[in-house]
Amino acid sequence: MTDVTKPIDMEEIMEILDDDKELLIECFDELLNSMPQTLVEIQSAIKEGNASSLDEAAHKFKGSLRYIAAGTAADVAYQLETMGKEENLSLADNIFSTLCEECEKVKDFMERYKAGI
Amino acid sequence: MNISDLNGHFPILVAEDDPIARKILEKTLTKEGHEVVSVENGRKAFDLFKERFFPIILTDWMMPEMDGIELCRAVRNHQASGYVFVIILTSKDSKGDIVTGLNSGADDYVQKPFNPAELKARIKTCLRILELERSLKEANENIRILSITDPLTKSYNRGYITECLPKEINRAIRYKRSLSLVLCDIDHFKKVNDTYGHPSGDHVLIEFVNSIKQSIRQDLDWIARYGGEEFLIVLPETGPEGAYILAERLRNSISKRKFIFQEKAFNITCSFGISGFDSATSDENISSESLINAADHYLYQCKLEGRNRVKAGYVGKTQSAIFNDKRLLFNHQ
Repeated sequence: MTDVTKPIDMEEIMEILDDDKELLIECFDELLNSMPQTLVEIQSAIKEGNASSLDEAAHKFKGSLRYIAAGTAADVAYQLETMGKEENLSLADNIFSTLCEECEKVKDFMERYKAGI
Repeated sequence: MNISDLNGHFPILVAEDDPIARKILEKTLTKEGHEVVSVENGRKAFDLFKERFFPIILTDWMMPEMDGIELCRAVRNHQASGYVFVIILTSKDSKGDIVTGLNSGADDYVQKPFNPAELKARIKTCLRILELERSLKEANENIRILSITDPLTKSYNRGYITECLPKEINRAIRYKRSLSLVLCDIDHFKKVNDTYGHPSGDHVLIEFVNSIKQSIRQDLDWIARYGGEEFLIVLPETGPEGAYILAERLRNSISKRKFIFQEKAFNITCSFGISGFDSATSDENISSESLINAADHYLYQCKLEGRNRVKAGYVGKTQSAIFNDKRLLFNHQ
C-alpha cells in the first residue's frame, strides 16, 4: 500500500528508479541542491508578474518533483505552471506559500532518508 | 549482424533540461548497455547531432533555447546518414503534446515520469525499426552492386561504363588531369570455346580479369566487361604513354601464361587499343563515345596487323577530328 501521508512515495520512486538506491541518493542530492534556487526563480517570476518565466520554472520544477514521486508538491507546482500558462497570477503568492511548505516536507523527508532515520 | 549485436552500438542522444530526469535517463539506458550522451537543451543536442550521427534521440518537450518540437523538426530537415528515431518525453498533464509531438516528426513518445520497463520496451521497438532500416539498406546496396557487376567475371558491366565513364572524363577535364582507356580483346577467343569448351572459355575470362585487377591500382583504376571477350580498363590520372606501359606489361604476361582448366593447358594472346588525353590535349568536346571509338580504332588496327599487340593514341582538340588529329604514339608487335 502506498503511504499517502508521506511527501515522497517511496514505492513509486523505487519503481521509477528501477530499485537503484545509489541513483535515489543522487537524485535526492540533486534536488536538495537545486531546490532553493528554483524556489527563488519561481518567487521572482511571481513578484515581477512574469507569467512565461513562472510557467517555465514551475514546469521544470514539477518535472523534477514528479521524478522523485513527490506527488503533492508536484501538483502544487503544476498549479503555478497553469497560472503562468493562463497568465493569471492573482493567486500565485498563496500557491507559492503552499509550494514552499510542501517543499519543506520533501526536503525534510529526503534529509531524514539520507541520514537513515 | 542481428539486433542484439547492435544493442550496444546505437548511441542515444538525450536532450533534457531537468537534471534529475537527465540523470535517471542516463542511468536507465546505460544499464541497458547503450551509449548515452546527454545535453540540457535542444540547441546543444542539434549542434552535437550535426557533428555526430545519433540514430536515437530522446528529447524533452519544454527546454530553453530550442524545445523538443523545434529539435525534432531540425533533425528531420537535416540530411542525416540514416534514419533517426525520435522519442519525445511528454508531461502527463498535457495530452495535446502527444499529437503535436508526433506531427512534428517524432516517432514515439514516453510520458514523464517514465516507467523504466516502458522506456526499455520503447527503445527495443526503436531498435527493431533501425535494424529493419539497416537490413533494407544492405539489401539495396547488394542490388546496386549486382546491377553494375558482370556476374561471370565480377568486373563492372556495360551499365557501369555508361554511368561512370562520363563522370571520370568530366572530372579529368575539369581538373586538367590525364585519362586513358584500354580496350582489350582476347584474340581468337572463339577458338578457346570451340576447342576446350565453354567452361574453359569462362575460366579464361575470369582469370583474365583477375590478372588485370592485380595489375591496376585499387580504388582508382577499374575494369568493365564491354561485351563478350572485350574489356575496358579505365585509368584516371594516366596518359596514353602510361597506359601503353601497363597494356604492354599485361600483353606480355598474358601471352606467357599457361591457362589450365580440367587438366588441359593452353595459351591465349590479347590485343589492346588505347586512347587518352592529358592536360595539354584535352578539350571539353571529349566524350565517352569519342574515347571508346578511338580505343576501338586502335584495337581494330591491332587485329588487322596480326593481333597480340598494343596500339595507343591521343584524343583531343576537336571531337570531329579525332582520327585525323590523332598522333599515333606506339605500335608494338
